[in-house]
Amino acid sequence: MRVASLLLVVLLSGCASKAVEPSYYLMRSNHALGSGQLTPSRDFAMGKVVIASYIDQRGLLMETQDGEIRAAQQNLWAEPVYEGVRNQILVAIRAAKGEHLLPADLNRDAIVLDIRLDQLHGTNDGKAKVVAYWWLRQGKEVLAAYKFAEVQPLATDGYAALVNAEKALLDQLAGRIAATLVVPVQQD
Amino acid sequence: MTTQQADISQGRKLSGIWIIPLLALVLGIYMVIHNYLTEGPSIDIAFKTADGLAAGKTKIKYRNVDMGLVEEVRLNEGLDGVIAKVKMERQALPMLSEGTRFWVVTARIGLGNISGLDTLLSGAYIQIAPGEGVKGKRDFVALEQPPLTPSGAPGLRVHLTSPKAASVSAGDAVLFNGYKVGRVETMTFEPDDRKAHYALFIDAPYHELVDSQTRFWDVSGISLSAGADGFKLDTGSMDTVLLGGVGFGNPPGVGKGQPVENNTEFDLYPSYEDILKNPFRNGTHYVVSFAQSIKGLSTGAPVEYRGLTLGRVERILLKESLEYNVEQDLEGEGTAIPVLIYLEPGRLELPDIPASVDNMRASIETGVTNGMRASLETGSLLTGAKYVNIDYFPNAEEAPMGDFLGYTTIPSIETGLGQIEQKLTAVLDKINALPLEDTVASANTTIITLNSTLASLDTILESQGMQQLPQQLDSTLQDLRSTLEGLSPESEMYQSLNSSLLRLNRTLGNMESLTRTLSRQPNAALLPSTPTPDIIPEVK
Repeated sequence: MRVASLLLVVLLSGCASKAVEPSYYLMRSNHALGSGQLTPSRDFAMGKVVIASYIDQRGLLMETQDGEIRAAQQNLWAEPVYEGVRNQILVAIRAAKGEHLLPADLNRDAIVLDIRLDQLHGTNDGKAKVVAYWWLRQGKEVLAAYKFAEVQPLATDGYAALVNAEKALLDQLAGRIAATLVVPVQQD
Repeated sequence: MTTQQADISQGRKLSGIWIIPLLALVLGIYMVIHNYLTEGPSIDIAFKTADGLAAGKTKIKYRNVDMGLVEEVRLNEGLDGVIAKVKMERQALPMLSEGTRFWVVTARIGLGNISGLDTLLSGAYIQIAPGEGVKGKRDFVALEQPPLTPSGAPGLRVHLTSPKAASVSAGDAVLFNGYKVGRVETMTFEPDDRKAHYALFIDAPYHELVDSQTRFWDVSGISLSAGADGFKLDTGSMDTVLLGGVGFGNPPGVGKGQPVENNTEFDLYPSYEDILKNPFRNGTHYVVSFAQSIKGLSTGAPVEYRGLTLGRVERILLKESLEYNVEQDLEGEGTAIPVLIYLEPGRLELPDIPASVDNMRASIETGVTNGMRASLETGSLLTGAKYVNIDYFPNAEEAPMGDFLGYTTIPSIETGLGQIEQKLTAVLDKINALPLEDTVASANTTIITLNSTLASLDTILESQGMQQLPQQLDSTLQDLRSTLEGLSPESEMYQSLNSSLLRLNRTLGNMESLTRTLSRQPNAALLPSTPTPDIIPEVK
């Protein structure tokens, strides 16, 4: 009996192999850090950030040559994608406009910004691709709606470059959004 | 021997002395013939009296030329007048016709004028006015007064009639817009028709102002009227104030009529206001019978068609109605009261001619078949004055036109306040018929029960538990608010819950990955597996 137990341990230990550690990436803006008082926007507030369901997973996404979307097993987001996207866009808007957008329930009279991220992946031709829509609404009335669809070539091979390219595209998206945050002229 | 032959001569036939008688005879015949040819006729003129007449002195004159001489003045056979025998000049012969008039010209002093003053020195004379008619007349009746219109004067002579003698008399002026254009020639009162008759002469060219639509009215004296806008004083010229006069003209809104001939008859209206009230001459009568109270309906009340005055109420035929009921044995049956109305087509701006009356009668006849009815309406709620309204009522029951004492009848319908009164009465009858006593008794019982229920509810509300209920409710709500505050996004519990959910989400992600691996490699839990390498993004 002792011999059989010893043999099983040897066999199992023989099957064991060293596990590969996955890489985690954080989606955060590259804007300069700094401490100080934030200036809340009185006219605009941050609403919902909706992520397409295929994006809402841990692995970074790549498009194969066959046109498939494949999620990486070893290259993962460090947090849910929608949190990263929301955070990055907020920071980028603050940098572009100088005002911080509070959540909509804290600024009920403001014009609310809603965003839908439709595509966020790397393409098989070495680029990062972002497609997004956003609209401004006051209550249930939509004041304006816009679309963003851009690609960014990767600087180098690898997932780190893909993450950097996607972050750069999200910064562009935030800049476009900030440019549309204009109080409409009241018509008598 | 000389033979002397005797002269044979015939004996003297006629003595020369006869020349004288023959000459006298010829002269006599000449004188007779001359006298016959140059002497005028002798005529007889009858006068009431011989005032101003003197045989051998009084002359007959025409345009101040002697036309004859009164030879004899004698009483007539009836001794109620005198007859003047007048020797006329031969040149006056053509003047003697049926229409020739004579009158004595003497000094006359009247209210309006003084004439014949020259006769105070020269003496009275007889004026002859040639006339028309059959020639050869030798007996004449002299006028008592000089004619006011010169014989043969151009113009128009019209006759007026009035039910009562106005203050107009012969010699009064006839005025058009205050301008004297003629005179009243005669005024007589005929006992047969009990009317005053006036003869007016309107000088040319003013006679063209008279046509078939012209109205004549009395402008004598002073008219004083009081109205809402104060007192109004109307007077004519001074001579019309003192002497009287007749005005004429066409009423406003009435068009020009047809030219009239001499001796056309017109009515003389008492005043211009009477003409304005009844400016039309052509109209027709109808009778409308009302089976309702006619209180407030009076003679002269308007008859309207959709707000337009079409005529007036002439009379309420009460007496005729009673007689008719007796004749028809309808006494005590509450028959409708007949009202005589007078409709004038001129009020609808139709020509004021008889043909318009015929057209209106035809229209009314057709209208009645299409629902035209007369109704009694209240003109003023303040005074209660009523008027007759004619209009179309498509839902009215069929009713033919009839006849009442020779007048055509228009069927009537009850509308307005009368109809409302009837409907109100019907509603009140229905209310009377309702079982109000039972309903009130039931309502009383219900109210008593309700009172009892309310008293019980009051007891419940006044109980200690109910009094404390608001406080308890308030306390509960405060607790609920405190609890919910603990779950707000800013609370620790919310943050902890959110973190737990994130971890759960990650675990589920791992489970999903494990499930996918096991489905692809079932022994992956026991045996080591080689992970599929990720696709490496490459720059191209």
